[in-house]
Amino acid sequence: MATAATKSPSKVIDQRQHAADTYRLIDNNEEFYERTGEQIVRACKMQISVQVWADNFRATLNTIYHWADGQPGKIEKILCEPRSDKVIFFVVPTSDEFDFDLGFAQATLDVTLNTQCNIGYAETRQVPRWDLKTFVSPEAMMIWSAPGTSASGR
Amino acid sequence: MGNYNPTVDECIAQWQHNRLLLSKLDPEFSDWIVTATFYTALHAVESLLLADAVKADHATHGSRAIVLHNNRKYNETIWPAYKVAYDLAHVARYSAKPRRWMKADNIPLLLFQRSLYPIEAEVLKWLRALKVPPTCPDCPPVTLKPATPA
Repeated sequence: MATAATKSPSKVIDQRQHAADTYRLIDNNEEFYERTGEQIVRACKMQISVQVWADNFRATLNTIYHWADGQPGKIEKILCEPRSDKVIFFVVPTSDEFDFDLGFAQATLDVTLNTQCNIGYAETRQVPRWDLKTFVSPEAMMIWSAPGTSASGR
Repeated sequence: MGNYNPTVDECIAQWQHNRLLLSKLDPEFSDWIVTATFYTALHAVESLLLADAVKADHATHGSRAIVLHNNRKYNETIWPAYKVAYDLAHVARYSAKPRRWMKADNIPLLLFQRSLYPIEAEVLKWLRALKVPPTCPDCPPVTLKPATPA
């Protein structure tokens, strides 16, 4: 007869079969989380050490610096805001209007961030320099600014 | 939490419904044209994801973005065009001066030509390949209303 101390056999979530199935997870505070098999597998893959994440993040910054250097005259600065579920890189253009070419370049960067950088979900957002308070938290860090500006540097 | 699952036909209908709104809004409300354009694009994209039976949870913006930029089928044409519409609509919804960010005069040439139409063309290409018609729509260029004289 099974006792409370007996470990039950492992239950299998196979991404090939269960990607779309939903699972209910319950934590010690009886909070419920519904996740798909795909999401659970992704979360496990991201269960990497803080040190590895920090190393990946530093490498990601170099990727962004290189990308920003390749958009001469188009970007005033880039701010970074890590959130609980993602990292947002706010791209502030030099123009007062939305810069479409820069927007398409950001889309390419988004693909790189999410397929090669291994820092979890990350996205860029182009926001107006004249309305930063609406979109960017005061805690956001400036990670890049255009050469020659008062706050230029990394 | 409900378990309603939209069908491809329903997404196509909503895509066309939102598209119809574009030609009815006065350019004075260009910020809402930007927002309606994004939701037109969103339902076009949703119809393809459903037709492709993409199983991922793409009901949120973040999870939909993951599907779009992690799959080569979507990340070369649809993702870039969708991303600019998403960014523009975000500012259009929350800024107190959205029309400074996207001028009404630029909507046909920039937002429609570079974002909405490429998304629709790509979605239609794949829907036709998947033989989703007869519901597959035509998408003629959007004709905006002339601006109301001040």
